[in-house]
Amino acid sequence: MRSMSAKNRNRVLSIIGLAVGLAIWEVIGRLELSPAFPPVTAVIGAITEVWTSARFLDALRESLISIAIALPPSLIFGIGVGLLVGRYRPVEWALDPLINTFLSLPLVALIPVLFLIFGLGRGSILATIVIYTFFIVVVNTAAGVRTTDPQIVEMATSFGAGEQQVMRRVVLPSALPLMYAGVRIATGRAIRAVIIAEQVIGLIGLGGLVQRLGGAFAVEQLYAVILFIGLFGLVSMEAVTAVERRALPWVIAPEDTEPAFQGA
Amino acid sequence: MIEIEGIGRRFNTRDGGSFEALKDVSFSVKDKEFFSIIGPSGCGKTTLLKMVAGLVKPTAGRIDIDGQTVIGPGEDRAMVFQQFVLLPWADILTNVGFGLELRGMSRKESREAAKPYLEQVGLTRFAEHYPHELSGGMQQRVGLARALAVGPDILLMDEPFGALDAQTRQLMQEDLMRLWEVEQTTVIFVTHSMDEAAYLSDRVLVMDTHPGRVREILDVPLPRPREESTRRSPVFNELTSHMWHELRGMMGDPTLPAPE
Amino acid sequence: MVAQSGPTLGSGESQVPEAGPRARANRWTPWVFRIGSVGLVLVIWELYGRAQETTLFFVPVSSVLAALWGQLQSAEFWDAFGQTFIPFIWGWLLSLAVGIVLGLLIGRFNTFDALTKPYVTFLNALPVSTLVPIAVILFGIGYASRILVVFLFGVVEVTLNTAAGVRYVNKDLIEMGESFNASQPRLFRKVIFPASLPGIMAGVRIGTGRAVVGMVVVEILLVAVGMGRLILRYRGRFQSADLYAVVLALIIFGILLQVLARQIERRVSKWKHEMEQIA
Repeated sequence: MRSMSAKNRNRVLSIIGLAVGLAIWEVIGRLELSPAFPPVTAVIGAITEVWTSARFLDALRESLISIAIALPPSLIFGIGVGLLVGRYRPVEWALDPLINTFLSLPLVALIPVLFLIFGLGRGSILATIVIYTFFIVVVNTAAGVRTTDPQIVEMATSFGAGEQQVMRRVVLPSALPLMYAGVRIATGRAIRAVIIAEQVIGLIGLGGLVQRLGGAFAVEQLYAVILFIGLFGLVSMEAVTAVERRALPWVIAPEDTEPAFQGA
Repeated sequence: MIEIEGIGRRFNTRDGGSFEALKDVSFSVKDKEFFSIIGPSGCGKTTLLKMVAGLVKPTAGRIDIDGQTVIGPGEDRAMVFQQFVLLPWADILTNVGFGLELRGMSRKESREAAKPYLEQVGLTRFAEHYPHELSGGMQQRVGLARALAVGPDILLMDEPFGALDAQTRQLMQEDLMRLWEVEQTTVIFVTHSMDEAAYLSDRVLVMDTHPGRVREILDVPLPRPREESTRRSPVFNELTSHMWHELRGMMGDPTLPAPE
Repeated sequence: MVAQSGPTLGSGESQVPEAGPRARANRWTPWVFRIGSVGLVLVIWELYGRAQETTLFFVPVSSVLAALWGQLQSAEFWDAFGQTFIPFIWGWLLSLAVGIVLGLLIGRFNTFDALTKPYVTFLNALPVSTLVPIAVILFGIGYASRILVVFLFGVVEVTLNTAAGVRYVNKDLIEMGESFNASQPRLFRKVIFPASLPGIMAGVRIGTGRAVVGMVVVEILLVAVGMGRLILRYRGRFQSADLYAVVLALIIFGILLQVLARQIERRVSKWKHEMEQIA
């Protein structure tokens, strides 16, 4: 009971914090201190107009299509490679240097090169999503495989399991919690990737819309789009987490393996 | 009939040398016999059990079961582990059926086939719980049911009650006796509890250490079925004090802590 | 047949040295695989690059390295590097300072945590690059907006990690301090701050990585000055090898900073690692 009331108290405080912040923003906006801060009421007014406009919906569809094309294969291959890296030492030795390099370099820096190779279009956006998500899934899956309890492997072996059965019935389920964590992180990174790549092109998708609205100093609309992108990120994460909880009822607290550079 | 002939096991150490865990171990276990192996830590009794299971290969000697040399795990044997080793992601019924599943049954068939064994260990109402929701004693009942479910001729038990508290341990021993009277399998039972070895077994192998080898094989002339009163009989006491004497001698200076 | 798990000995028999096929693997074997695979990638990169009809799009690694060598000797490169680096330093330091203070407050005071939660949550989910146009509208395309972008990229991670570090300070440790009647500020200085240093340093490391990302984002979105201008120019003039070289320089710079941050973290958080080894 006590923890419930503490939770409610925190919720009220969060709402107060939000209200105070928005009020301050409103005052700054009314004072017209900078074109970067229009009054909140103006931004809220722009939301319905922007979120229902054809231009916005087109951009949203473009961004979603890019994610839908690039993310699933990246996840699937990432999981496959991660299983091999985690289970077989020679594969680990061979791929570790490459994976570590990709995880410790600022991936955004590769975008100009990707544009050179794949052109200023969807190809580059897809490539950006792939490099942002593939390696993180590999690393998390491999880490998951390494959490496999060798005693369970031995138990399965004692009941006559071969390598294939061990892989399917023991290693894969053991790896699932961290694998899901990898998928969750990759989903967030895919959104970052598609937005930054579109921003660089400046023409298509939500990222392109952000650049064009910024260039036109259409600040209210710009905020409306940014707000949407942030909320979209939040909802996507929550959705993946909800699926994760359902699928893995035995997991108490999953741990993530997150590198320093999380993309744009 | 299990025949163990001249078994040895060497491990290479990191500094390039080698370490002899087991040396020239020979004995045999009769069909339907309850055979315990007892010895101080580091005598290689678990390694020996895993060799019978086909999980570890001997570097010398061989193990024959009914004339067939062991080269790997087989359908005639099933193992019960000290740390229970249940699948944390599967419910209890799936865990009991896991051995059957590995031997080719579908998940559904194996769960169905597992039900009577779950009932045998008295856990039917926990069928859909997860392992972490069960106490240690209950988890080991699941481990036992999983082994029995594959219908083994030989049950290999590696200090199965070693991780349990004293009261639970005693209850489990009595339950195991009842089950064994019904199932009539051969059991090789590794333990470091003298009471447990004497209470359960037909014969007890006492092992010596550095390297692990046979010190003596004791007959347990206690009547069956074993009961609570068995633990208070003079024969029982004589057996356990004999084992204690033997084991203490191996551990060297009694004022020093036993090597871990 | 049991090669993967190896012969494990039961509990209580741990004095037996680690054994089995894994332990017997030659200690040079991993290096053969590591160097072999990296070498293979470089060879493929080189050969594939040479097989192209033009070096406009895909440049062999040897040409990239040659171009990088040339860049490192040109004054223009270092000029551009300075224009990129100076605002980065300011934004980075600012993000560390603000992030650590905010993180300490959020981690220590539940009320502050709840008040700021909507903002931290939103900023954590938002691709920060979307704020670049706002920064431009606010400050133009000069140093100020570059500093702001780098700051925004770094600050969230520093805050979150610092807060986590404070939150996970052992309660017993705080009670011990209180039992000695320590005042709140002294308790903070003597107990809470040192105990949360590992979390803070993790925040510094991750925040540094994010700040570098912010720096590169500035370079590719605000292309008027610095390395970004070089990239734009080389793209315009089809000097692809030079473009690759500038990108490589940015990457190397990012990795160096990362290594540095990791070294600092290791030194500061040394007691923690030692504790973990003892335990």
